[in-house]
Amino acid sequence: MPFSLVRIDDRLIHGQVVVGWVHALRPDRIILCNEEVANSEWERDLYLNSYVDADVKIDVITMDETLAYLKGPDFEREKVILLVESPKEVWQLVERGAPITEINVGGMHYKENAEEVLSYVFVSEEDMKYFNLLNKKGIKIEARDVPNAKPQNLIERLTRIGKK
Amino acid sequence: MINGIVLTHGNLGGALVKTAERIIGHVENLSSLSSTRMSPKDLKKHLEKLIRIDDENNSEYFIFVGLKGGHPWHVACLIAREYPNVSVISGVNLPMLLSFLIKRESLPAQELLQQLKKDAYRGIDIFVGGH
Repeated sequence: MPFSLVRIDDRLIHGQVVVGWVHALRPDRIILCNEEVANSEWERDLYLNSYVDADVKIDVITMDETLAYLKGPDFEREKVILLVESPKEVWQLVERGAPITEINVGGMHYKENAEEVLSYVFVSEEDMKYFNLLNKKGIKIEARDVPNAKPQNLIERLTRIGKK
Repeated sequence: MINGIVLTHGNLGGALVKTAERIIGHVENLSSLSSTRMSPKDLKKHLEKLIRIDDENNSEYFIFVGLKGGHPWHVACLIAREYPNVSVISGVNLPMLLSFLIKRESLPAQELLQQLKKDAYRGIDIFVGGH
């Protein structure tokens, strides 16, 4: 099944995702694809144990494991929300064959040397590079923090502030 | 005295602290911090600054968050893992915060945490219309 949502959010799994997006999209599974968290047993367990009441399966896995899942039978029948921390990881997944056609940017918060595009989207030179690569591939990039907010065309906004 | 930090999205934490103070008067060692517009890294830095202020006294800290599993919850848990003098409790409400302010000098930290959980729950009740 095509992804229900592919989301860039530096807060990874949190309230907006589990309360807002899960309620709106009713996915079968949330995949948090993050090397650092997947490789830290303690942090991984913190994510897995924080949502035991949520009516959704949660995986905290590496990029290799994510790609393996995408090739398996479960992905064909499941509605999936995929969460990553930055556009770089989306690009790496795309390059390795992940069937991503749209991206939701939900949170890229303040960091040094990054330009403010929206109150919750700050874009660095490196982020820009990957957004451009994704855009050239024809992948749609919207910024939207919560499901009932108006989606913003991120590439248009970046062009307008002259960063493209 | 155990210190309290109410860490939430938006202005909820600030409003809870102000409301608690309207009920029992000005209190010391209670602050609020908003996670809005902060990356996990930034939030962690801010929290560490608050906690390190009296590192020498090795004071206890309770971090109150709204939603278990939310962004403040995760960051607070990361801090609590690094600093043994920090504990995290979610589901903060006014009864919990008032109980903390009234009982924090009479109970040891671990006992107080259990008491806060009970008192927060005790504050929730239902009165059905027409009865």
